[in-house]
Amino acid sequence: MRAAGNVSLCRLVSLIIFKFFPDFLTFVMSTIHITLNGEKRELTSGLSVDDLLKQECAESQKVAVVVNENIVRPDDRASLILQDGDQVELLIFAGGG
Amino acid sequence: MNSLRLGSYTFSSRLILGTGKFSSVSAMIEAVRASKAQLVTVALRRFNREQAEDDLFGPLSEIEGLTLMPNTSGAATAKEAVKAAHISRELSGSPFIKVEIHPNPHHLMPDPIETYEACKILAAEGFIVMPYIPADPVLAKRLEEVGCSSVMPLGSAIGSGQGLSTSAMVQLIIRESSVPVIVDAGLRSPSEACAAMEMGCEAVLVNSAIAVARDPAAMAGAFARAVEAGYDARNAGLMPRSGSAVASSPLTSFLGAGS
Repeated sequence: MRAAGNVSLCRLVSLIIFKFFPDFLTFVMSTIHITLNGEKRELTSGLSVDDLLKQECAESQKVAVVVNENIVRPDDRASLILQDGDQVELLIFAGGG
Repeated sequence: MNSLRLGSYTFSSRLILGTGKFSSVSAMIEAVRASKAQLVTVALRRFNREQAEDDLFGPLSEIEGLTLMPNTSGAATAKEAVKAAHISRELSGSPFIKVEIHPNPHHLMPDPIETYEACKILAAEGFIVMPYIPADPVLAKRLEEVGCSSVMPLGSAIGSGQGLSTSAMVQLIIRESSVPVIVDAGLRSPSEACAAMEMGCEAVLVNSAIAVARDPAAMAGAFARAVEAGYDARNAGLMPRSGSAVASSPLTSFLGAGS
């Protein structure tokens, strides 16, 4: 009875931690899933937008970055950390009439 | 040649070039240079690391005096067009936006209602709004009234090469418009561009006719000369049309006199 009580308490504490501190879950998980240009991607957690651009060989490209419908200016790309479930679009200018 | 005024910008060239459909980036750059165009359209596309050479920003920024006019192609609604405009302005630094909303891929005809809604929003946000529209004189006037810097009625369907099939409507638009009227889409030959300018258009936008020509750079040069010729001809005052002949040589009666 006492052991069962301890397990319930443990479960309750975990639930509280993960529910109210989702970053903790991410931290514990160490990988996140984002959508990049319409495709699912697994990334190391804690990466910034700049890090993602480097990973995609786009750091010297003139590229627009949109995260969850918000335009991310170049000045903000080093500080914006990607979160699980983020929808990221990297856009360039191509030919068009 | 007087300058073309669009918003706060002035251009000496009245030929606007589209950058789509060229066989290569270098072919496109060569054509832009040959056309002496100072305003070109570009489209947003997802970055693909396998095709990084698709990015035109670098090559185009090497051409001096060139201004970019991003388009909203891909947008099916005003909301999507406005979103594309915001992203484009961020990327290009240019206040120009060609509002292009054509949800049906078969005919690519512009949606007048979504276009109007998008233009109203973007003009209020300070964009230099250049709407691609059906050749509708009432729509053109409404767009002018909400702050568009020009109106761009189509000559015929995009890429169809069917020419200036809307000339009667375009003339009506020109008659009523206080902003530059720019024929965009469907032109096939320099003579059609010349005709548009003679009619009173302030500029023309050409893409397929140049990009898909056998020699795009040469065709671009031909279009540039045709646009100048049409503009100059209009300003020189075209002769009136007559229902009957008006002799240009004296009627030399002596030739028919009895010998």
